[in-house]
Amino acid sequence: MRFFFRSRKFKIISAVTAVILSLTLIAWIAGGIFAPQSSLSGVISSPFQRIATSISNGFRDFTQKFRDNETLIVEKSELQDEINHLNEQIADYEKIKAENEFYKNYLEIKDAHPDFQFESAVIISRDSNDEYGAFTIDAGSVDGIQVHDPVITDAGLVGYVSSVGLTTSKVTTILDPNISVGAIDSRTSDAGIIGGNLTLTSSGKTRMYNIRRTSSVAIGDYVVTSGSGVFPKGLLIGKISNISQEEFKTSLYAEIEPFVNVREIRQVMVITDFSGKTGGGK
Amino acid sequence: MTNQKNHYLHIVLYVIFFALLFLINYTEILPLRIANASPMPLVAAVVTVAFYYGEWLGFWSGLIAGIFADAVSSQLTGFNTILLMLIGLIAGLLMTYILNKNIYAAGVLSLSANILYFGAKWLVEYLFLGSNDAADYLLFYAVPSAVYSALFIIPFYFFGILVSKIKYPQ
Repeated sequence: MRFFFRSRKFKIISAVTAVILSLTLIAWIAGGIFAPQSSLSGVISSPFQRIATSISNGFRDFTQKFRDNETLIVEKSELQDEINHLNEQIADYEKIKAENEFYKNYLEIKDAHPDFQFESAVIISRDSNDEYGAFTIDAGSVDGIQVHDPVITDAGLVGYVSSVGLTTSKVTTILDPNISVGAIDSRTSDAGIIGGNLTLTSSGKTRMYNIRRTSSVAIGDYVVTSGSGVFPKGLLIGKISNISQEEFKTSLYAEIEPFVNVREIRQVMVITDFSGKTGGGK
Repeated sequence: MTNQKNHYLHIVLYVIFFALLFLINYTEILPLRIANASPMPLVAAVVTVAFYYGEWLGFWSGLIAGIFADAVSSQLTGFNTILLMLIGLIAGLLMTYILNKNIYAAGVLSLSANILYFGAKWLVEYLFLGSNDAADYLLFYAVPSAVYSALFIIPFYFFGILVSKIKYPQ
């Protein structure tokens, strides 16, 4: 092995390693940008990823039809149950109507927020080693995307752009523990912070923590962005499905069922600009 | 001359192999996840190259695979590049100077490399950040993922044998 350390190959390996470490260090210091070598590889690989993702989506749609046929018999009996369930729901019509009105307002985000500048993007890859559903989109700095830009669908908030390359960007979702989105209960205006954890992510849920103990948040309430930080005010996040006390009973936390299933979406919108955008940390 | 042509042919075959693995791992064209175990087959692929071709090609395959993986993975910038090139280099050196070329050695290398990879991921993303989920991630995600990923060496080992038998047409 001593021979290897004296060889020309070892010198080349050492030089290449030094260059890679330097470029990576620069990217770390700059924050939120791809290392130059990754940015270049993103440009090269993104067309192939786009094709592979299209094939993957097509295959999933095709197999879904067969799965649907197999479940028809089961669905028939389930439909009867559903009719009964719907009858019960009629009783709550007024409540649902009010909720729908509220929801409709937020679904029409684009009309409601003329100050929003959108850039549409397609998901070209998903990191299967990321437990929180992180993915890569086919838009980067050349499309005007910047670090910390909010990412949404027509159903609500998906996450934010965590790093930007030339033609691709990585998105961190609202299931991630490191996201920290300022949020409020739309009914009571009680504030909290959105950030997931490992236990909830498997069921596709996230968490709103640091809610005052005296607050009157309730299961079924809608949670929207509060407008602090880099997210515009009023973006739908999800619905409260459970409320518990924090470990030391100093505050409450709520489990949130996001309106967007981040693992199923294929296309997103990036809000590249809006009035009051700070451009600061997330 | 023929040997050199064979060598280049093998490199082309491995480039296609890596490209397919990359697309499978990052586009869900063939979902590999089983429960919490989410494999990183590129680690075993880099070990395979190092196993058959030594530290030089092991290093380069790790470097290139890592750069492409970093372009799409959510991990810390440079995480895959640094780890995969290290894995390729160390596995290649061990094969050249210490280990015998058999499936047991390949298995040990693959398991060690995957423990290193997922152990580093656990340290960087959970332990150093003081996450409350650090223990859960280690037990229920990192360990199953490392073992599952290490198993990829079995088909890759035989793929390596197959490739080494392919000759450039005369």
